[in-house]
Amino acid sequence: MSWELWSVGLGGAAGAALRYLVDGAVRRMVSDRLPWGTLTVNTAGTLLLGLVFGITSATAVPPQVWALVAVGLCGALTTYSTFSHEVLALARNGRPLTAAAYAAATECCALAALAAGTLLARALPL
Amino acid sequence: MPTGEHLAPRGARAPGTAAMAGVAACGGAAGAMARHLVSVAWPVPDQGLPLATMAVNLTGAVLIGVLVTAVTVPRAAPPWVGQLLGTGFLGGFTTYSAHTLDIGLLLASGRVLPAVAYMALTLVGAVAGAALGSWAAGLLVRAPSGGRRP
Repeated sequence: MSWELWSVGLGGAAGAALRYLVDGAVRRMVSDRLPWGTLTVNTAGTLLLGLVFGITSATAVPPQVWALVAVGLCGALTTYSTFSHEVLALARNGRPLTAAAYAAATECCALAALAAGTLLARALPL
Repeated sequence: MPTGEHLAPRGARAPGTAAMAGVAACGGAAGAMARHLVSVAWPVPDQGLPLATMAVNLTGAVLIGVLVTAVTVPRAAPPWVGQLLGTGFLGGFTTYSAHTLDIGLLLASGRVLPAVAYMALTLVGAVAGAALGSWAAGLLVRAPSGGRRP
């Protein structure tokens, strides 16, 4: 229990720092009309989770790896709180269609990324 | 007003990027550990919905509504507060990846209706929760500071 909790914490620290850096880099590169940074981290984190899920389904992986990477890193790299705040902010700023499109795009990109990660794991020589 | 959609002002990261990432990391560790404790205390029942992830995401959405108001009203808080509590703690506490895995597992087991319901309930609940949190924080922040606005 204890090692599991600390693994989650370590992965969570790395995930949050990575999210801060990736979100900042994306926002400096593209227009801020849409929250591209959050869309990027949510898609990338879900792709990684799909990959780890696929690998743990196919072969024996120590539970520490799941706690560290899946629960901690992928969990903290992705966010539902900022996502929901951004949907609300877009709707409140008179852009309800953009808000709906952003929400739909995030759900679709994340599901596609999950599937892609799982398929990628199957293609690995495990 | 696109920049209002973000917790941190655009372009405010040139000085102290590493320090800010460290601040986010501290919050993220605490948030992820808190989420893990909730999921341990509230395991997914057989054939049931993954309610722990949903509860964590809805709670985090209410709290980010509170935070966004609290760091801007009555005056702007220093940026590290938003990074520690927003990007860090609430970002670590809530999760999009586990949410999507939950939906993917429901879909893979042929439970399409529960999957769609879980996705829609989380989305609608979280956006409403963020609105509720920001509204409630607005009341609390304004109430003691002397009367109603004209």
